[in-house]
Amino acid sequence: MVVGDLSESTEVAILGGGPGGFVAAIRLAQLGKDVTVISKDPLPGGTCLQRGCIPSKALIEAAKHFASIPQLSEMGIHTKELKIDFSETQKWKEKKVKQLSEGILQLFKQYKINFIHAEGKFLSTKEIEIHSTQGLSKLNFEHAVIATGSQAKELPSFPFDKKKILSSREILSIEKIPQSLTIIGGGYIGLEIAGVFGHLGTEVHIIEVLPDILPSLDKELRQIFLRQLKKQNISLQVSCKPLSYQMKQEKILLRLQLNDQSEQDLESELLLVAVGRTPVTQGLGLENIALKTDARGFLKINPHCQTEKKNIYAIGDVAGGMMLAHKAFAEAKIAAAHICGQAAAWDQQVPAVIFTDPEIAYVGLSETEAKAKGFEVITGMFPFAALGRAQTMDKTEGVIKSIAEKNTQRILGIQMIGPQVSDLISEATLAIEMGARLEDLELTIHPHPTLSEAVGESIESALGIPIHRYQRKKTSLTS
Amino acid sequence: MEKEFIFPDLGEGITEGELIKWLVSTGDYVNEDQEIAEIETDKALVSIPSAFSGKIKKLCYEENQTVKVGTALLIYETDETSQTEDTKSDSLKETENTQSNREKDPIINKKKPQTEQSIQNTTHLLPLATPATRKLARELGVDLHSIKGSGKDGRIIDDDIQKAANKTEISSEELTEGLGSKTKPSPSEKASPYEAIPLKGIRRKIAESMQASHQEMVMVTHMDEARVDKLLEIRKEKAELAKSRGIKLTLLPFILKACSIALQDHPYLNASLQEESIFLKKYYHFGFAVDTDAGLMVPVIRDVNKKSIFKLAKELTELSARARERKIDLEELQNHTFSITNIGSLGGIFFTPIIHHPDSAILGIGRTQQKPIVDQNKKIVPAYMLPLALTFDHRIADGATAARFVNQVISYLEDPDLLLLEEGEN
Repeated sequence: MVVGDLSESTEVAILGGGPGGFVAAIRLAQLGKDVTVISKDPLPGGTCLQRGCIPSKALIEAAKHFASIPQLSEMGIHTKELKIDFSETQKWKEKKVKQLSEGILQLFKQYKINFIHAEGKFLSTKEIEIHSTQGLSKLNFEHAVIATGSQAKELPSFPFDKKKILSSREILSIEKIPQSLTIIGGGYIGLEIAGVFGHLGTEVHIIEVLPDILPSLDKELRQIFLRQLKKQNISLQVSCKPLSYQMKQEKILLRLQLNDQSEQDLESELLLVAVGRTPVTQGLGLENIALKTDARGFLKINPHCQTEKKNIYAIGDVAGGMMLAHKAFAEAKIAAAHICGQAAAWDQQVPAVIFTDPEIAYVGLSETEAKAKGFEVITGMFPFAALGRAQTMDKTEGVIKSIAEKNTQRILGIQMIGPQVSDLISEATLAIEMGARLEDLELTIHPHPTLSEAVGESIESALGIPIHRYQRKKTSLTS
Repeated sequence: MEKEFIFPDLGEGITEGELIKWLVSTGDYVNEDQEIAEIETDKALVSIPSAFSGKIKKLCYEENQTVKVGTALLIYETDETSQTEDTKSDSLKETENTQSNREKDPIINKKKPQTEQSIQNTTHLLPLATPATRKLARELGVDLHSIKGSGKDGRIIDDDIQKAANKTEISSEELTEGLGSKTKPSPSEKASPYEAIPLKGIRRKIAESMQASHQEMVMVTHMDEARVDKLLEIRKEKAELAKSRGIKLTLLPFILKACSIALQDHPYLNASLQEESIFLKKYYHFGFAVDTDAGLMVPVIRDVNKKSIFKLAKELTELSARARERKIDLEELQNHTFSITNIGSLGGIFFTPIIHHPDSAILGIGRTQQKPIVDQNKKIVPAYMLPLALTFDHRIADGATAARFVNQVISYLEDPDLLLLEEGEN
């Protein structure tokens, strides 16, 4: 159907065209449903594709290449002039985003999914009011899926002005590399953006209120990461509270309170506030369908992703939990299958991936979490430095750590920091989903020379028998 | 620091409940809204969500104990104190969760909110089964937590799911009415929210008889009221006399008598349909329903038409006493032609009695109450009204028959003198 073309009724109405919405739409269409997607953005893809995961990964990749060039001299590669035209980088990034968005739109056409660029508001549990540039209309539905996502959380003392105080959305589109950047929030968004600009030569400061970052990582991995931050000239100030700011010529002067209650000023060209995201439910007409959000604004759902109104589902960021696109993908598939009468319910592990340099990825329990739950664990750890492939890539920072239940040898969790671990984590996720034991992975051949060998070696380390590393008998690395 | 979770007031005047099952255990880290226990109240089995997040220090009740509203259900160790490395990291997570960095939620525990009973016990690992096997379990309605897998360390394979699903089907047939297969208690559950009572003895007889009537017959209930002021006066007048003969005089013998006479004019209501023939019975043996500890029993008074009111009253008392004491002979329960069931002593007005198989009718009697009625002089006067509900088998008799029969019974009850006049006919 043509964009904007409006049918008066649809089997399933989806509010939001992001990772939750577009995946639900395609799966529902595959299952034979007539689907209408109502999107505030003119193109599908949502925050993830338009102003989140995808643009940030493009910039991260560009910045990483830029920073690696001087290091190539050891390989005998010399360049005379190192230059980056960031506006060109941005254009290249925009091209990629556009290509991918149009790709989704193309899929919508192929699957005959009706896509409307408009705002949707529930009038009842059967009807949505559609507000577009062409005016008001109404759409009847049998089922609805709320996939309206989230937006950057604003700090009252540091309101976004989109010039000097930015959210992740704006900073991914700036045309000029700032000389200095302060980031409030040491979560994954803050850390990834710090990495981008750290590589591009910006002086980066991260301010974190809490005494530590990356709490889900075991401390060995966290320490490796903190060392890398230092090497990249990124300063991290934990237990540090931003109090106020004032503009000083073209700079922003931040007043900070340190752990010892002393105060300190920090000057930088730009301020990024990355303190989390809040769900988008305003203007959806939830009051008309008697749907309430929880104290933090999230919609409550059951394992089938149904809200309290059984014909209305909620998926992705708006439903809370881990605010990650692949969690939204998974929920979208559950909701779609359940709408079509299939026995679908949430029971999966969500792997977490952070595109810092080096990358971080983990799934299942950390050693700390496993012990807190009363598991008797054995662990194994393997450093990338001992791996042939990592050496030839000149990417030797990082480790993989495997955590298993001692008695059954069932794998409880795997944590990784190192090169391309965002791709390596899927083997670990599969292992946990399959209820694999250490031996299952040990007896799986990992091709040589690849980074994936580190997974196998960390498993062997838990069994006490890694090949590329000397390990004394019967000692667990972490005991 | 410690924090108590108080068993909340669930409303509807519920003051206590039985703790059926803990969904968490000591040492678990629990999120706000995560379900922590299943408690059965007078009204329903409810899942109690946690009001806040924290690590569980102590469970204050054991399963199967009664929990009072307002008492501590469990004690949390809250975040402020966490000194050890482990809990410190937990506390960090939670603070982050509520503050800024939701993105970094750890994986297993930080689930999305679940309003229904969770298929995943969020405090432990997933059941040891592959994703495809878990899907099969969902499709066949098998709770993975209720079965033990046949594989190493209890790994659940497809065969285990199939077996569990088949078992569920068979045993659900044996269950009594009202317990669906989905809520069926599984043998491995420690504290089942149900008790399965084998169907036997009197209960089984009642079930079979009711089932036979319900399946075979086409039952319709006709309802009307009789004004029994006069009858009550007579009973009052003769109460002393009856007492002197050791008889407790109620309305029931009068009703029996009235029916026995009226049935002679309406033989299709004193009949049975068997093997394509309607048997009109020339004898009037009435079953009457007695509530005993073991359940409903229906002793039979023979030849009601031939017995005096006093004699009927005496037999009613004796037979019901022996029924309650379980000292009644089988013969005394057999060979009925019509039945009367009187719920009036407990209350109630009209109801729809089930015919005592293989009869063709049963008369249900409600509670006699004073009601305002309009009399012949168009005046509103108080009157004692006796509700009558006659269920008849529409295969054998029609609505008109039933109405005429009930009218006749009413005429006798409203003017008991007629009983005297008509009695001699047989």
